Amino acid sequence: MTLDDTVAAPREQWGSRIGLILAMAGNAVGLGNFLRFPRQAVDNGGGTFMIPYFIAFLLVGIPLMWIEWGVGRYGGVRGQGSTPGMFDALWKNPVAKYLGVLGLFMPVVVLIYYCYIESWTLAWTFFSATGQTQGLDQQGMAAFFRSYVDLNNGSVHGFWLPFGFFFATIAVNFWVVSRGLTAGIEKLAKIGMPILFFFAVVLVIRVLTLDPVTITHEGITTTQGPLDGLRFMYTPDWNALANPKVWLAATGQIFFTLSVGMGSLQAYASYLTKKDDLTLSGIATAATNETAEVVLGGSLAIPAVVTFFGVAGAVAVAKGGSFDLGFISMPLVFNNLPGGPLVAAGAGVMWFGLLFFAGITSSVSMATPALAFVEENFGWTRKRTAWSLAAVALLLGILHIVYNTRGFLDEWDYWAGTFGLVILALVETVIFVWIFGPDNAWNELHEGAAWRIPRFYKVIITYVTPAFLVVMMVWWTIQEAIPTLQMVGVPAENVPVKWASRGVMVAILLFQLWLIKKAWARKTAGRIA
Amino acid sequence: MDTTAVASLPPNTLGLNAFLFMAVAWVCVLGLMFWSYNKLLRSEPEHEKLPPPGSIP
Repeated sequence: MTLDDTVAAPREQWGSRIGLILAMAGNAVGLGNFLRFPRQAVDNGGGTFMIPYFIAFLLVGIPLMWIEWGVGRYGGVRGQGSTPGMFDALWKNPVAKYLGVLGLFMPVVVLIYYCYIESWTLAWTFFSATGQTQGLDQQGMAAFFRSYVDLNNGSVHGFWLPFGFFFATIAVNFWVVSRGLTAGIEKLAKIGMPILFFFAVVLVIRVLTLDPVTITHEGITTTQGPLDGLRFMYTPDWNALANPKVWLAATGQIFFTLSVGMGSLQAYASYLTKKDDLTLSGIATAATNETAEVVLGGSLAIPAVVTFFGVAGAVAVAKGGSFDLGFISMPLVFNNLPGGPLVAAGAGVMWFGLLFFAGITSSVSMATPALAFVEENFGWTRKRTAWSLAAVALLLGILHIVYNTRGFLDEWDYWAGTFGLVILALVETVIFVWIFGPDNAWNELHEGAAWRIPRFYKVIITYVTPAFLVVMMVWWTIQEAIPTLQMVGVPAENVPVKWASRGVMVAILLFQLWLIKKAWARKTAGRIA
Repeated sequence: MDTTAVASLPPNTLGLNAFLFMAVAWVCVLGLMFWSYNKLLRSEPEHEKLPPPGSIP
């Protein structure tokens, strides 16, 4: 049975167009805009990284944005707020709904560990406000961070502190989603996004107006300022263009930053009506995210770190990972800002506050597909569904807190938060463009459109985007998926934890497949009755 | 990336190459954002359009 001919129950709708765009942009703007992007640019050719980055944006990012809005709205007007129902409506095949499980599985899995990382930003906002990160040197700041993320290392923080901030983060997230679309998610976006942009702009202005600083690193004295940081980030390395890894890194960054292939954009788009524009709104959403990433994210962490630690110091920080950059180096930068403890506290609150808002506007979107699925297929109320999912997230999140340093989170991040995104993107592109039909897809995108997409994009959406996705999937399978599956280089003591992590993921996937089966059985029974 | 190019310039200097790449990147994203918001503000959502005069009895 398909849902195409069923009568859709009235669904909630977005209160305003600006609310929709801010919520969609909030979904896309996340921690990666401020922590992952600058590292990727530095590691992959500096200025030349922007060439494959923008090509991937035009050939994969924008088309997928339209496809996901189109899939979402098509399902939404038929009463389906999650990908099982959306795929079922687009493709009259019993398999379609089961393929849609990807759009339930990924957001739920990512939501759980994302909330844990989001809870760090809440904790560091508190630590910054109370001056706990002040007066620490590099080693002290690193110990402060490691003690928090590793429960076995209780040298600085109490055992229960990470649990407390995680519970608070879960509570705030699910309180927002339990209030519904307009009173919860849209309101959060309307408040959170302006605050995020305000904090980011203030910090960028402060960083770019810093005076040059003279430091001695390994016996060499150098003087550098924020412009050196921008130069470090944007100086082109033309050889990088010939390296396929750079192209894949750029395409991967576009994926992560736009939150495509997750299932959450489709869920948000399902609350649009047939008369709503999605061509121009999709571009506005993507452009808002790119501004946050390229203009603000690119002008914050790297210029600040280069100013106070030099290029060599920034390279070392970049090698340490995005979290070292955000949670160790940036508080050290704030401690060195002219103006004393008050300025350091203010800058810390703004930096971690903006990361928190970037995180929460994304995490609430990840909860939406599962909530919509349960509400629509099992008749649960919004509040009941939200707090039930909160309980699940809380219980499974505890596993992340306990086994964080033993690779539990890395498994989820790789299979659901990285590899899975490309699979869902490819599946939805094939279903929407090839099975539903290029002409039908094109017409669907232009229902209520405020702007006509240039004709050549039909060719890009039909052939170039799927080809790009296939190349990415094959490359990632060979380069990363197979070694990750085989646990190459994983310490022996972490292997059981990683298998347990995979076991939990498989259990979630099977449970969701069972729910889909049950939901469709209920629909069939309802029709016969 | 080429860190020697960074070291060869005076302190706190952006350099022409880096400036060009940064400027093009900023113009692209800011241009796209302002263009799309401007066009959105000028377009009237279909369901918010008023009915033609005289069509309401």
